[in-house]
Amino acid sequence: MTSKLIVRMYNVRFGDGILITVPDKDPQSNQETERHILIDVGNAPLVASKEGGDDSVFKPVVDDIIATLGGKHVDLYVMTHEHLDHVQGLPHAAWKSFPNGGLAGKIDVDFSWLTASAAPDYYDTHPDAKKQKLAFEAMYARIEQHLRSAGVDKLQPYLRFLSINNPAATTECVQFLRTLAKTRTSYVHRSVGPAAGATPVFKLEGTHPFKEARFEIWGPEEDTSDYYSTLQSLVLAAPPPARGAAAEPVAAPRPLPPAGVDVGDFYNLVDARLRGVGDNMLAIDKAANNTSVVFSLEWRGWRLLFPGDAELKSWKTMKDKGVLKPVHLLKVAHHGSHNGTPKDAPFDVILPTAPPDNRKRRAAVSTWTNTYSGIPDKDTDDLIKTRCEFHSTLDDPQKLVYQLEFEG
Amino acid sequence: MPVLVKLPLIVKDATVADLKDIDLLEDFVITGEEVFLDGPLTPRVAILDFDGTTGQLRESIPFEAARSEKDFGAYGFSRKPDDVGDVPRQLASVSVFGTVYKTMRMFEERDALGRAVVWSFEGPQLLVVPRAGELANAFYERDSHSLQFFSFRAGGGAFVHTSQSQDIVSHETAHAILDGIAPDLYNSISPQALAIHEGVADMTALLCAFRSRQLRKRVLADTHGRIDRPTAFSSIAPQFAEALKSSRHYLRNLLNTKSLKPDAPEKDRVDPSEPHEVSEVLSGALYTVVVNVFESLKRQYKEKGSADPSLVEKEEDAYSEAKDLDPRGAAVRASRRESGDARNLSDQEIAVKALYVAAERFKRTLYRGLDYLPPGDVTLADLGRAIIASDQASHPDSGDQRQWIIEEFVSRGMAGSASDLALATNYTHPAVTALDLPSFVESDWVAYQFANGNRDLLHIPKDIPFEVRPRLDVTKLYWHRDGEHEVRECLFKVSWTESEKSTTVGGLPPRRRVTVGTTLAIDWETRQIRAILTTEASAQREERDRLLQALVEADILQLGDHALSPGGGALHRAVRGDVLDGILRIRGAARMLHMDASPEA
Repeated sequence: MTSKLIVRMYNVRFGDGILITVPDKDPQSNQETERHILIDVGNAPLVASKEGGDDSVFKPVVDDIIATLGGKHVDLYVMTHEHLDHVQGLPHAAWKSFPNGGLAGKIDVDFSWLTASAAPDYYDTHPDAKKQKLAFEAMYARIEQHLRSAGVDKLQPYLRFLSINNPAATTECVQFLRTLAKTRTSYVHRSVGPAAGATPVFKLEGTHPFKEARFEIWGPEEDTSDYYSTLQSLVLAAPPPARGAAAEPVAAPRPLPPAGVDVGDFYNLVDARLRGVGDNMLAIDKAANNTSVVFSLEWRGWRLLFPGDAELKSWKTMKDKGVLKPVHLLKVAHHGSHNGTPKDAPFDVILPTAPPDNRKRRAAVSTWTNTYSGIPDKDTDDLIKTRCEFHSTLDDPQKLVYQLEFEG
Repeated sequence: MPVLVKLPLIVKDATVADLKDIDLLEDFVITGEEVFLDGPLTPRVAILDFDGTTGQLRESIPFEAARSEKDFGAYGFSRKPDDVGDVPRQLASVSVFGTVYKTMRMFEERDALGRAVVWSFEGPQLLVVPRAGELANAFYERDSHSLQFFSFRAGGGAFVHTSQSQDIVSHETAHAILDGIAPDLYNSISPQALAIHEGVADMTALLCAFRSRQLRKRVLADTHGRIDRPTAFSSIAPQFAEALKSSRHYLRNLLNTKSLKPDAPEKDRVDPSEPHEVSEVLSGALYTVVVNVFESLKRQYKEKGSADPSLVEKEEDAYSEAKDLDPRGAAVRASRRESGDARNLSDQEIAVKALYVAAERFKRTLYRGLDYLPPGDVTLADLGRAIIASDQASHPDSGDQRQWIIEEFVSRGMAGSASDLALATNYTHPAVTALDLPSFVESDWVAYQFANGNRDLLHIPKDIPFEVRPRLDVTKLYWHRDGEHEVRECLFKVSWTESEKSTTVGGLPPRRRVTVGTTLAIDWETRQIRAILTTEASAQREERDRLLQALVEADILQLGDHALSPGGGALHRAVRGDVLDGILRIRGAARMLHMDASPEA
């Protein structure tokens, strides 16, 4: 009888939730065990995303996961990065759908991988990254305060970015996920390619129970400081809130032009000086996306790639480290954004124009419209379609899950 | 009627230990403006001192009109110690204002462009923000009509204000001025065109420093009259240079042997697709020319008391520094003494004079060359031809400097050979002789008809649409063997676009648009063609590919709406590309020169 590896892509709206069932044969006993990998589960916060962040999707998704597990454990849970659209699904299920410990016994996790920078002591041991992280958190607080003070029109376009990157809400979910695995929780980074300075590549032995399936982690780098870009200088009228305090609206009067300066030119400059709000919000978003765990799963000649929300900086680093390889399944990064899929050299390596073998190649995206501007990006979809079969949760938005099968 | 306003300029870094005995400040007099308001503010330049905490404007500095005809107008700034830094904040604002004017004046003088500079944007006023926020950067931004100078903490924690560096203020002001003269450079994706922006800005900062008399005297005394040593003028802003390590454009290294030649020694070879590196080749070449002129003048002054006419004309040699300083003060007396037979001067005084004259001669050559630069995606060779042509047309008999320019452009690989830079000047053409110049200047239709009827002369391809640019009617001051002359010329620029094959990296379309054009300079009196120059756009196709690739990899080039922030405005850290009919067009690429994470980083 032919075994099948099955990838179940859940329609969590704007987010990711993926369950992989892997027939895993022990080479010594020749015994095949059905194992499961669960990736993320989350969607955009409801407050900002409406349909795309509809939390009511979690209950049927989690019910389906429980049914598919059929009483078995999740052998490996992977939290790709610390964004609410990837981390809030399981906590939500535990706190809302199955309160009072009701999820235990239904979804039990043995091993888990969380991105390296989610380790509780990560910023104690990485001063450069800590400096960047603190600067980005402070900028987040200042921008939030500024936008809430500037009124609903200014706030609305940024609300999704603010809520997905909300450090307080994310921390709560990540804390839940840190304690999910009963056997071992690992904070992972690149496992192949050259060492980064004094830091060796991550050793995967003992971090999962798989015997036959092979994993490689292509990203992120252990030191995440490179993923933070320079923040634009911002002079925001609203004073920053105290650390840990909630942003409260504060009256922020517009400056008045002096005599002798054209009013239009003056306010054009005032607005231009605030353009960094958009740059910095995107920089904050990108920094977290680029810490995504990017891993490949090799099984009986297939290579499947799950890159979380990796953006161009991460792809370039992976290319520079020489870890990219052709794949048969690409989980499309960052919900099909224009900068979640490289359109040049890295893309040509993972989905070369000429397939390296005669196996079918596929790409799958989990996304939702009208949630993030420009996502999904049609040009990106079209490019991927030139190389492989393309699947999207939007193909049938009412469908709870679609599955991709790989025969072995 | 113009008002004379005297301002203090910060001419050196307040923290430089080895120049402690030089005054921090030097007076400068603005001579050509009629209206001054509290600010400082004029119809052309406005200082906007935003508070770093509240975002509100700080109190304007009051303008004080002159009390008598012998007196100067002034700004009554407070000398209260600054909240962050050594220099009183209001003094720093006044200094920025004055330095912007000092830079503008170098371009506007009768012996340079001979006209008021115009900004490339709509609107008469350049808005200058001396304390724009906390960042190790400063930039000119066309869209906001502004120069923005940021502050940052240096290694020891002390605040460094970029607006307190004469170099940086002059450099950024030069970007704004050059954008008015050659606006196509701002949208170019040709590394050499972008390098011209940087190179001219660097040379302008140097010329501005040369105009500081006390600085010039002191540096020449320290170096025993030499400027071909690394310390000559590189110590003007060491604090900024050191602290701005990541922004290479302020690390002035004009004394270099950088080259575009692929077979140059490795230490001198630059990446021809990286605009900052290419600009070092240009700056190095131009600085070497200044050194040559200076050294020759020094030698001739010492030996003969005056310069050879093949270097500078007799009248051109007249020492006229007074106009740059306080026109009623001690500098006038000093410069009068130095304007006679140079054999009466000490070696030190000779060097001070020679450097001023060399810098002035170089200024004329460079800035007038910019007027002749053709539109579009120009090359360094285009700039070389423009400089040579304008100089040859105006100083036919003093060609030593031209020869050194040619040698530098060829030896550094900016031009293939001397003949690549040769251009006919001062000749007749029947179509130009017949032109009704007043109508030609005033009427776009007349200019269009002329261009359309003379496509061959102007190198406009057949059947291609083109754009005629506003004609300039300018009068400039020149020196010939028989003395000083005013020459009136008409400058006409016409441009068109061509599509070329493009890299498809990052999903870019396979073709892109480049701008090409021609400058026609006409002598108003004789109707002679002073020069015709056409862009050599095809020369940099490969370098444009590589620059685009670098912009894509740095996530800076964004197509269409991807260049917009979630709030809808343009992202600051993005160069926008638009695709129309399958052809890519880039806008505002020059902004990448001052991005914190430009592709070089």
